[in-house]
Amino acid sequence: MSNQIPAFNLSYLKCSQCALGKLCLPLGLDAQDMTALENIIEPSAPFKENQTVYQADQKFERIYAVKSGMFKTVVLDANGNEHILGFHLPGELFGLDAIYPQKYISTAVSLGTSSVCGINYTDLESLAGKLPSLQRQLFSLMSKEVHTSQAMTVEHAADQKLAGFILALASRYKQRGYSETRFNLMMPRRDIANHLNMAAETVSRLFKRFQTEGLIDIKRTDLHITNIQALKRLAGCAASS
Amino acid sequence: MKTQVATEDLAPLLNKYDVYGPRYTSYPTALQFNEAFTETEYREQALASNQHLIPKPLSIYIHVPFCKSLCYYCGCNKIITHKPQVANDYLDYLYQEIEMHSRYYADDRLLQQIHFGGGTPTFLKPQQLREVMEVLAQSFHLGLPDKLEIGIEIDPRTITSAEMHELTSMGFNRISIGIQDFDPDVQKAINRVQSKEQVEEVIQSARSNHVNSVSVDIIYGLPKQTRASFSRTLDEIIHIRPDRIALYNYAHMPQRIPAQRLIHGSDLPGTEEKLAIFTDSIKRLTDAGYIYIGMDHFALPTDSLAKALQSGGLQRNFQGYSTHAECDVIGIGVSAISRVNDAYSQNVTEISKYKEAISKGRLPIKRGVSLTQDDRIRADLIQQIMCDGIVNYSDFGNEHDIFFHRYFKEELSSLYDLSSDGLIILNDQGFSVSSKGRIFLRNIAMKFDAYFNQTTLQNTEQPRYSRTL
Repeated sequence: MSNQIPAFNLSYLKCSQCALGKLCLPLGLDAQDMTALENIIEPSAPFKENQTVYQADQKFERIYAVKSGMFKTVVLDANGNEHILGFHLPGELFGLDAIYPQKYISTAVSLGTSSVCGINYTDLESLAGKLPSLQRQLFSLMSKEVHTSQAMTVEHAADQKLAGFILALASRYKQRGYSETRFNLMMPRRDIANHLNMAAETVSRLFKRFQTEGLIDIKRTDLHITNIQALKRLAGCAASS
Repeated sequence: MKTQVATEDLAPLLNKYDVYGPRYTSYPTALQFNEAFTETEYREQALASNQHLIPKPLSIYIHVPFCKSLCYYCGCNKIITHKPQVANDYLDYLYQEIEMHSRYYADDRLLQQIHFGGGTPTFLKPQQLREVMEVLAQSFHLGLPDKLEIGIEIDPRTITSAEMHELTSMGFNRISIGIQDFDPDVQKAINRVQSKEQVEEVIQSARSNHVNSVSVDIIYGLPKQTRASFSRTLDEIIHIRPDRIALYNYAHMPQRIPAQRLIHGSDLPGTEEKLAIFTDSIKRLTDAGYIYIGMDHFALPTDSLAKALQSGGLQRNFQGYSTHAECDVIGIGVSAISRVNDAYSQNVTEISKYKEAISKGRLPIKRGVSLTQDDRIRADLIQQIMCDGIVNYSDFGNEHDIFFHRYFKEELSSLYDLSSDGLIILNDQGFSVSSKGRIFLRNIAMKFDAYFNQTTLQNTEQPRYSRTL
């Protein structure tokens, strides 16, 4: 699909060559500062589907920037049930919530073939101290994460939640230069259901309803938003991203 | 859409395009199935099919391999027996297979279509069929009665009116009847003697019990058949006026199908006679008001198949054409084929191996194939050709993220021949199949089949495919 960024040959790409530079940490850095940042980035080998980047409770060392594909972060509740905190697209950071407790509170898992850049946090912290534009971007990305998780805590009707979820993904894809109205949902439906705290059957029933109402068109896991205005009206305030 | 097919001047085309080729009830075709595909792969596909944003409904095909007598033309997987107890024994294993499949599917996967094929499904008595339905209802979530299609292939020699009534009372609402030919000499030559009265009685009983679709199979090219004799069979068919008619071509391949060795080659109609029977049939049936759906299928304008052809909702599956929104198909029983998510798989054909696998708690999968990205693109295109008969390059390209002209460069350049013969109408935006071209759908689809090549085509000594016409 057009929105899946190929994972091959990306591992040695430097920040200055990476198409995600405008979304990720390097935003606003000049050439010299960029080199300093590149020196602390550790590119990783591509992850296959369902591989773990880090486990909950593991000691915190790095934050991660998604280079290609998609990752999910998952926590276990007291009853041992998994709950998916979020899905992370290329150019987004994860592992930020480990800074305060100094250990990872979630487990990060790849969805499909995906790759990341690891950034040692101690190194990043000291580099950010020297480079104001890096610090600004780091704070900005953290604020975005806080914003997204707050939006998730507001109670909405199920159809509103799902519409909001679709629109949030749409706008994130748009920021990355991909189609806002046509994309592939890499996450299985059980993950969408889990993330939105609904039954998988409810998710499918709503997708079917949206399709009947002419808001979207679905083929397998490909989604085509056919009436984005109506979808936005339905989502109301749940569409923050 | 034009419903008439001009049958004049077809002879040269019929000769030119009468080659061995696949029927495209699947793509890739069964020749690409391999034994590296096992239960593990099937399970992965089944679990992945649950994860679609809107999972497809389920369709179950049940293969009943038993027949009371041998029809000499038949190439199906079958066992000739008179012992009714073999069925009970077989059903014990069948129920276990149903239960094993059901574990893989999410609770909201509605079972919307059930089809019994064979062999002779009516080898099973109504009481046994009822038991199968009960097991299905225990293992799967049945769709609402008005949306649930339950079909069965009927041998009129093995069922009474009372039994037919019993079937409809348990929800069977589609029947397909093997007629083949009404001519007594032909019937003797193929070892399938059945009277018009038997057939009419079954259909009458089905119709009076609200069966909403009656389909019949007839075959051209059978031994002892002539234009005149088949014309009388067509008279009778048109009089019965089934909703759908499948007009199959008899493929004489005695090297591959032992039963066919009982047919004398000298009894077969000559090529010209056979093609004349075919064109006569198209003319007779369309003149009688039937819509030519494509390949071997005809339907009354009131039938859902004809409506689907007009509205673009036609599908192609192992039973030929269907109107059903695409389902994941689970094949149960010996030799049954499944199509789940992005894969095809087929069960073992021998009953002993079937039972052995199930006794060990394994699904009796013999072989299969997982579709590649290229397979999926071509499968969609072939489906579009066989069903809608119209391809728009940019629409198709957008949907599959390909640049059509580049992706199918060679295939496109091979279309000019079809176009100059009037089978397709080519323009800058795409191509459409002409009404004449609907006879040659297999030949058109073959152009886009990546596995089909000259070697297969020339291998006429041991043909693995039937002839296209």
